[in-house]
Amino acid sequence: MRPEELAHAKQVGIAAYLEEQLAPDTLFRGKKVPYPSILDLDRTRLQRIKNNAGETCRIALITGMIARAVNSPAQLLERMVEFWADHFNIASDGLETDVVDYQRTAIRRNALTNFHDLLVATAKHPAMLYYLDNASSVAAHPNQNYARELMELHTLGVNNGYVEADVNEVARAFTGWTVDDSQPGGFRFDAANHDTDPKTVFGNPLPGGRGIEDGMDVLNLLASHPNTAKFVCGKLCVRFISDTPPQSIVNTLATVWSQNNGDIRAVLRALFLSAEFAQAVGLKLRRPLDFVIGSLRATTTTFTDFNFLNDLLDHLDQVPYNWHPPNGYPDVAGKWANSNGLLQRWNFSQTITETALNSHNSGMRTGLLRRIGKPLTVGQLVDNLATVLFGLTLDSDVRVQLIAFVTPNGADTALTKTLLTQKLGSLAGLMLSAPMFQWR
Amino acid sequence: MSTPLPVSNVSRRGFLKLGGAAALFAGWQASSSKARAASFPTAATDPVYHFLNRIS
Repeated sequence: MRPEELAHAKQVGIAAYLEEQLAPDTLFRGKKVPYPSILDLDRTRLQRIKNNAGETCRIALITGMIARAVNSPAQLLERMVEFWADHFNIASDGLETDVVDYQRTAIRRNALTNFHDLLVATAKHPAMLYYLDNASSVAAHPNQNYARELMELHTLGVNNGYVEADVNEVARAFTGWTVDDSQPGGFRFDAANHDTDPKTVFGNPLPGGRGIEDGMDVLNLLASHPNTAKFVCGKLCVRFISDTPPQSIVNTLATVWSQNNGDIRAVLRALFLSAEFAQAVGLKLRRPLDFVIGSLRATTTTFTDFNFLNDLLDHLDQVPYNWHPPNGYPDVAGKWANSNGLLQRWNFSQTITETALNSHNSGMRTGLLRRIGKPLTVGQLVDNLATVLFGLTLDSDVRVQLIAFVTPNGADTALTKTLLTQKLGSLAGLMLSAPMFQWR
Repeated sequence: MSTPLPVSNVSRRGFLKLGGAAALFAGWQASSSKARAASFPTAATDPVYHFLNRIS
């Protein structure tokens, strides 16, 4: 984290800081975080991109995601955009232009609003209609892909309150939900291809002779279902508390969810102010992308060569918007904590520090040297770096080890220009590689 | 997941030269939460730091 953010949070307190984060529009104060302007284009304009539109949009998605996560003052918004992008995952491969619009109008716009609105926005978006094949689902041949994932991944959870017959009925309810590029937003309900026969969903009758109301009723039933509350709140706890969160906090959040009709801010407020959250320090392993973003925030290193950044993300196995199954990138340490993953993190740490500082034409720029002040001794260098990278003062045993990495002569050793040049990059990389930066 | 890199790559990158600092990594994949929490310099002393670190 950045020292100035920590200072501000200490000044206003945790509860007030959280309220600021839950109302992100107030945080920008007229300043805009730079990101590719393509991400603000509506769907019609995105479709007018002529040259290599898919790759252009893919690059914009990745660079924009990282730029916002690194630089935005609305840090919680960015975490929640990432959470919902995983929850309602769509791989961008082949759908790049639609995913740009999906991320802006469905995910980001609703990330801190209401689950029902978020669910409806994803259900009607062309990217989802194409990704899970509902765009071609018609009365004569209902496609079950969206219906199944809607219940299994987006709302109830696998085998958690529905049976196979419900999948069939929900698929019928969504027949005729399709894409029409002439419509604003691209969604159209095609009444001619909708199954108008009566249906029964989780024991609830849906009368015959209707149209889009069938699908909307299904979304309403699912958004307000208590199993949806428990399933999504459980995932929030896994993301922010631990891989195996206490059932007590999941139940508490599910109750808050139901009492507030799926108000996301109310649920997050209860989560982040809970005793379970406060007590769970150090239980979550940063996923590779979290690690990359945290490292770039700490060092102020930026990439001038997109392909270089893309390769590094690929080595870490987490290129944004590139998880092909609909369940989103894994969220537990067991999927990421392996020898190759650790090695790639060490490589990345050294790349954005040592290589960025000391190699010409590295494809990066770093402000690390400007951020460390003017340390006169090795001890001061380690202390200043700890403040810059971690925002804290190191315990003495950790400090001693880092000093020993720089010099065998102790903390008071004069920091010569030669020693600084030789050690700053590798020392900063070492600190980013340490456990304290991987777990949080 | 991609396959682990060969050891020669580790050596080339210079990570085997980190010397005594390798002790910093003892808790990296520790199975117990207590061991991992011990790797946090201010685990129990700065709730604001940990709050921000976990929501940003």
